[in-house]
Amino acid sequence: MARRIGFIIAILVGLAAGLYYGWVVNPVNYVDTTIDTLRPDYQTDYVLMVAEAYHANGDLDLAARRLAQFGDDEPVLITRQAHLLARQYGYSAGDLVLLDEMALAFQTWTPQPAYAATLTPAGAASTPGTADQGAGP
Amino acid sequence: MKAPGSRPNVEYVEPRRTARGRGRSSGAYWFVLTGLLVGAVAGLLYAWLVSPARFVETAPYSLRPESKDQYRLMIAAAYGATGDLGRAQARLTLLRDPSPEQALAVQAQRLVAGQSSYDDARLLALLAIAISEGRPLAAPVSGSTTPASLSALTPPPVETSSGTVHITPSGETPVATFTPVGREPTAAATLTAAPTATRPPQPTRAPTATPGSPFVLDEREELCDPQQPALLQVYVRDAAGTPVPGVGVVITWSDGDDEFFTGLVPKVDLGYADFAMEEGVIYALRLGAASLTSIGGVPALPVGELAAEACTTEDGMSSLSGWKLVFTQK
Repeated sequence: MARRIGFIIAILVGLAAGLYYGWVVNPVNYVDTTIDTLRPDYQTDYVLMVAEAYHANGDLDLAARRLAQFGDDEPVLITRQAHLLARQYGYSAGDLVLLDEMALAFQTWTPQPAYAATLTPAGAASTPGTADQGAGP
Repeated sequence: MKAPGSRPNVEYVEPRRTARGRGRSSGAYWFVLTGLLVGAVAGLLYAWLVSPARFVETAPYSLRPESKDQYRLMIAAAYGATGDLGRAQARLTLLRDPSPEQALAVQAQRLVAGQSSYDDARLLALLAIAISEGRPLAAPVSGSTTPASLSALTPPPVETSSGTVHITPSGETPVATFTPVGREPTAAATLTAAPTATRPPQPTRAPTATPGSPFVLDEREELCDPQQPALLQVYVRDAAGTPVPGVGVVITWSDGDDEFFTGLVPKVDLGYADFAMEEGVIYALRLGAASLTSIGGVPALPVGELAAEACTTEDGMSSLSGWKLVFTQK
């Protein structure tokens, strides 16, 4: 009986040690990730960059292609979501205006025929990164 | 006379007890070690495979190379639109490139070499040049299609916690409000407005050639350098002798042509561009077919035939000759 208890305790201690090592000491370090896996604040900034470029060149199809990095969601939804997050993060009013401008434009946007052909495949955008173990901190 | 079984039994049993005792002690250790091992393996499998730490919410520096290129291009495109060099540099730090301007220049060169997008290469090169010079654009780079309706959409000056941010076509945008994003303790931060200083006055903009003024070939020198065999080096200067980045150079030969731009190797010179020639091929070169900056109207200027030929240095070393061409605007 004592052996079994000792064995179970040893397993638990080993499990705890393994989890501590795997989560804290040397966690999985993902490399080769894609833009759609970025943290929301980075994603929001990416959308802002698209909006800044759109404000200058007025090319909505190009903006849509750039937003296709986030997958299959409609550009207008991506932009609106970014706008909400931008307000939450305290972006300047000028930045919010740019996001709002692009969101408004996407509301009435009809993709050009060439757009679908040049759209980044959703699978490519959502392909998860690869894990690089052993490259911990 | 010994009692039967007394002494022999004792002698027989004691060693066995001793052996059993050793076996129990050793077995107990193995149980502990085995348990620890099994638990540790199970824990690692769970932590690394079943429920690994943070797969989503990655940072830009962990992006795969092509996604980094896309991210870098967007930074350059946003910079071309706003002229906000401080914000562009803050964004570039998120990619953790050892040398951001070098990464931009290399990507621009790749695009030019692959003939995929001169517009994108131009944006990347302009940002690389601005970082190298430490001076932002004097005016945003408009795309080829800028509807008048969008020009009118210039937002009015807005008040932020960091001060007034003017987004104007002239690009006089005080360095604004972007504190590099991140939950990391260092770079930082969140995309919240942060106290920033107004950009110091910029006395002059990046040197650009005067529109319409022709370039003349000031210097044409054949080189014999074993370190740089068959290298065609082009230097472009404005009338004041200042290197001019972003000038298109078109090179043609019997069955092909190529185009490259000055300024993509800022470590050498902002007005520098080079091209690796092949032995036995005769090249012709001219400037101004395309340019990163507004020097439209520059007439093509043939510079004669150029070729990489066998040569010998003063030290007697054999190499292939290269050329150095210096153009100056008149």
